[in-house]
Amino acid sequence: MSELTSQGPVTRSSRATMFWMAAAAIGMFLAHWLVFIYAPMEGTMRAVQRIFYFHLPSAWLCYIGFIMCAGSSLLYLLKQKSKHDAFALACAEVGLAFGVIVLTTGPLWARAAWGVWWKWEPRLTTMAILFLIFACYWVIRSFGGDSPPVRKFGAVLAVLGAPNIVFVHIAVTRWRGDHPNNIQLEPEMRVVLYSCLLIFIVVYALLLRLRFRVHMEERTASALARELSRIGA
Amino acid sequence: MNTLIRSAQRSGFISCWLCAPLLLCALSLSSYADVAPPPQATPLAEPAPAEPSASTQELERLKAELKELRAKMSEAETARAAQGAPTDKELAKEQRLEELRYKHLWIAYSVVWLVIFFFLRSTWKRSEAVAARLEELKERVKRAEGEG
Repeated sequence: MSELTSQGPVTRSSRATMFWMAAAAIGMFLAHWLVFIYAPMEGTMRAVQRIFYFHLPSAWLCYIGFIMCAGSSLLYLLKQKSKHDAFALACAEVGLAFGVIVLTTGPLWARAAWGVWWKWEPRLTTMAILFLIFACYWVIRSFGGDSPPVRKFGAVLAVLGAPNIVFVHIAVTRWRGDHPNNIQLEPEMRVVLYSCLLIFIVVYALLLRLRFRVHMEERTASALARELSRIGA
Repeated sequence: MNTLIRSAQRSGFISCWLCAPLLLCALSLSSYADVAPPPQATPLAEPAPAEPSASTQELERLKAELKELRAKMSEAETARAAQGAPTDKELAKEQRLEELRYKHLWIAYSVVWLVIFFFLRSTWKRSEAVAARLEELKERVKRAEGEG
């Protein structure tokens, strides 16, 4: 039992976390400078096109979150290690956060560019389905308890849900929707896009790191509580 | 003596510097005189109906030309409107659309910040709660080990 207490969680104010937090904060301000000042104004969609610089990186990171969730869930199913499950849950949560950004900024852009909030076109519909699958995963994991069957059920759902990403990706080319694809960008626009992607990766890593650590701490606490109740302390 | 010469030189130097703005003013005035607009044309007097002079005929000719030009301009405007050039109504619509674009842009960026903020806040709260629980459990472990 003393092993459990001594190994404990990492101290929250660790230097690495502070570094990631500082990098993310500086990066976000830099991203705003790039998006609002450096990036040139697009001719047709004008100001609303600037949503693109956060919309697209969020979509990519949402995919990455769900893919990592599925990969970690697969590892959990194979090795039955708690850390894989905790990592999968953290990935799904961060992926969902970026999914919320995608599904909110998308309609805001669409309303100004297309004149409608939502279109039942392939890319949007498959993205909504993907989001809902992982929302289900999160609901099950958050409110279904932390027992091994629930973990396994969640892991299977993540593994089966993740291939939907392929459909989201090919939706535009395969089913010819209205969603833009393979956009030709000016060099300055490309610089802003890739910088924003890099900054969002830092933010993603920070959120994932914090969330994963909380899940690990919760598991340590639960294990400790179980141990104490077993010995009747 | 040297000091006197130096001070005289300095005062000459200073006076030169003081003169410089005046010189600049004079230069700019002279250049303004070069490019100054011509005196405003005084309105022409009505021609005397009795004996039309050469200048009156010229004026009549100019008036006719002006009338012709005005007619041409109005024709061109009508043609532009027919071709689909923006009218006031369309310009107002475009203005509203531009405002909508900016409004949606700000909302979208607020959403990004809000999502990140709430995610960090919820993580922090959970972290605080679990840290408190862990502390309490550690105390219990220490007590149990002390008793044991």
